[in-house]
Amino acid sequence: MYMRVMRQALVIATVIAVAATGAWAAGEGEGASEAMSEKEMVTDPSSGKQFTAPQYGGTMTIAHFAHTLAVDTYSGGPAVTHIAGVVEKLAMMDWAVDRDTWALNCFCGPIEYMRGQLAESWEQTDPLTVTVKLRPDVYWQDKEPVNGRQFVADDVVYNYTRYIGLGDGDASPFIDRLGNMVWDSITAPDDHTVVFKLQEPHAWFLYDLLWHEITAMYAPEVIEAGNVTDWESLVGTGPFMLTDVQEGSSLAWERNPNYWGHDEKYPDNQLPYPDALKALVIPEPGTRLAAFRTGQIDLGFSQHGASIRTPGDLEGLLRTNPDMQYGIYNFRSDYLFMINVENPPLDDIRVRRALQLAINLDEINDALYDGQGNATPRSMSAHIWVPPYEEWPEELQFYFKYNPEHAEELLDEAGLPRGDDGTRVTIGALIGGVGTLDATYWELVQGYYADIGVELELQPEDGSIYADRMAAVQYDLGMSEGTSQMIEEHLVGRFYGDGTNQWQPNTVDPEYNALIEEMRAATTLDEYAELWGVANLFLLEKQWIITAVEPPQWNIVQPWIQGWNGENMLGRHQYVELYGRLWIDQELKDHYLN
Amino acid sequence: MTAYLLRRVLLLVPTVFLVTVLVFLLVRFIPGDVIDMMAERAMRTGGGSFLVDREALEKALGLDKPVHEQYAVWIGNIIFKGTFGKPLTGGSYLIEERIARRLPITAELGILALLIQLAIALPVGVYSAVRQDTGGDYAARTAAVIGLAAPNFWLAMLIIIFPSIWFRWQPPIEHVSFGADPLGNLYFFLFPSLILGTAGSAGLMRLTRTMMLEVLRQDYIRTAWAKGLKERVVVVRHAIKNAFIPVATSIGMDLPRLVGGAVIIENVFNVPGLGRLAIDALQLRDYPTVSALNLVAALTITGVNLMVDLVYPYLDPRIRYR
Repeated sequence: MYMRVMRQALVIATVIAVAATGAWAAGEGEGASEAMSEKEMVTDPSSGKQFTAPQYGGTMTIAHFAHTLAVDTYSGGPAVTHIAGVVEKLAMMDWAVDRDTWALNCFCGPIEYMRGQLAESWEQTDPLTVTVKLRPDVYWQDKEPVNGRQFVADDVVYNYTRYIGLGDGDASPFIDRLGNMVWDSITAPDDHTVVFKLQEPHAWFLYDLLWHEITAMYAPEVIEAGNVTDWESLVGTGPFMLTDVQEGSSLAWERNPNYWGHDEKYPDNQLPYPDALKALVIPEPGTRLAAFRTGQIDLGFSQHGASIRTPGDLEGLLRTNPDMQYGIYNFRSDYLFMINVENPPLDDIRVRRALQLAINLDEINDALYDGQGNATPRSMSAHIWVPPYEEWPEELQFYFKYNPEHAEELLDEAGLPRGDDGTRVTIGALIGGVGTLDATYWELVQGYYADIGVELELQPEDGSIYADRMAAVQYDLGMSEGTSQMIEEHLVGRFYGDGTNQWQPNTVDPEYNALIEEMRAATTLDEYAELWGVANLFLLEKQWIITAVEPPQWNIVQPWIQGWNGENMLGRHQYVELYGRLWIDQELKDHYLN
Repeated sequence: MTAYLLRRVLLLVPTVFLVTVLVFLLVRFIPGDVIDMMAERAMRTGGGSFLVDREALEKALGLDKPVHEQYAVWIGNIIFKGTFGKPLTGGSYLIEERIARRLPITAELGILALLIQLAIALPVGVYSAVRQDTGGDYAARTAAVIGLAAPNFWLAMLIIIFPSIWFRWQPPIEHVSFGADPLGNLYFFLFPSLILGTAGSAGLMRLTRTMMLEVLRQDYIRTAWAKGLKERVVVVRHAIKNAFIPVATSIGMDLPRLVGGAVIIENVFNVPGLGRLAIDALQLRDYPTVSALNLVAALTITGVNLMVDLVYPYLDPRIRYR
């Protein structure tokens, strides 16, 4: 009797809860439509999408998974939470670009879609010289010790000289390729012109000057005073001023009233739109998701810590927040395998090809990511320079299509018949940082390999042990990052060398080495990009990697945030540049939250 | 008593020295280093994958020196300059400043949780013992078993997730200081301390009950009953004080446990306390911060143990230190 009553009470409570949730969600949608229909609307010139007219005001709140303490990118590297929106770089991606041409949701930046941030224009007059014209209307924020003085070419010279380590100083440990160039000089012939000169040509010269992880412009006076690591002394030229830092808890910025920038789509509008920006430091994904669900954060961007990690998370959120906006992009996959080609039987290309042919990428994509991942076979690097799968030679395409029957034939040819238990061979797979979703991924791969008689022995390791083993090439198959977004050389560079290099999976091939050397000696980016594409195809033809599904990443945005077309950021770590170009429809926000 | 205290304090010296060696070395045995972690974090937040000049960064961070030299610099700074130095991950704050900012937050959480724990465990434990084998006793014991069995991080996640789905409400996630907004501050700590306190009360309640039962069976208690004293007097004046000696020990040991156990709760409820600092520092392999935190924790535990020992003679006059 008691149990029956309890069961009935439970059922009634559940029905009420579900009905209340549904009614709330439905009511919310209806009310929002009414609210929208009475508003003045604008058509976004870059996408054709309709938004309520731009408006100023409000606080835009985001969530960060961590709070990095560094303030100075010179010593702290690029992941510096404080400086976002305060300091600026020479260039960023073009906010006004047609989204059908370039969607602004890639971490890679083709130079043709860049536009000046602090730079008004640039010109590479010869392979050794880049001349940058600065905007004449840029002023530092009105704060000690610069007090709103004009931003001039000497500021750029000072910062680049410091980053690169010209003269007596040490280069920043994070300057990477820009520090390896053979520099001649950086000079300022006048207040608005900077001339960068090399002694030897370098393919990345212009690109790295414009698009770099760390080269933000700090006030020389602050650096000289030794206060550049102190957030309270941070002053820049950007749209926001850092006003409060509660370590590990929150950061707050206020609008820079004298900001020089205007919205490229609505040129009469001074930026930024929000009065203030706030970052709550929320390391726990479940808490971040709940904060978004309850409207405590406006933007849940994946690069600050994913709130949505599976299609199920997204589905659940859409049930309670049906009007929210979301965007999907494919960022990187850590499921790709590098193959140690010295370990038998992986020294035989037929075995390597069989391991690729056995995996059904589309099926994995459907099963794990609801088809929202990227299952197109690819190499390790950004697709902007690597020929897409559709343009690969037909024979190469063949070896990247799911074909377990041919995989078995290849294994037979390679002298690996099935044993009494049906197993042909056991191969180890070194994997790192395994979460729930990853575990399922590997189980699926294990299943595909079992189908062709290959036993896959998973060797999960803690992140740093994994990294050490990868560097020392202690594996048969080693999980590696593969991405459609990165253009860094070291991914293809891993296969270069005499076999003694760290990370090189014993791929000693004179032809490939010559190709990489030629690529590195290229003096123009076009030449470099072409050879980059050839190198990527080369390693695919050799089947030095087993390609994988690139999982989806989800950005989520509240319905009252207007002007968003699914963009991700406007440059490396230049995400506040994007947030400052979005506006809060306060009326809509009140409608949803009250 | 003074001699005992002096002896104990002197014994602390080698203990603390060993602790400093251990906390300094152990964190360095963890594979991976701060440079790997900085590159990894940059990649997660910016999408790039770049090569860090490891040699230059190691030099800048002082990691290029032999470990014994690094230890000498670290311990020298603590003893002679009174500082743990700066974190490897940058910023202008000293590590002790960071700890000083976080410590009151964790302490407030711990104290509130302890108060809740005591408020539940002591009366319920005493009641359960005095009313042994009654319905109330069974209910209290059942609740205690459930409290022991339900992990506090699980309860915390339930409190975070379900109200957000059903009522579009979530416990506060932004810390406000007591000085700035006393009510807001107490509201912020209410849910994490409630979770920590109720979870801790289960074990303490059972211990209180057991100790009380043992004391209630003593001859002097029987004498007190025989004298015709009221139940309240027997229990409060004669039984509780003696029953609470092991309970006090347990509470003493609970203090560091509350801080340690708060790591997950701090993460879930977004409390910017020492637990969060420890996790972040450990994830980033920020050696000086991890070592400093471990040292502070070790010293706190040692200090609390000493204090508990000193409280014994007050609780039980038969205990004398020489």
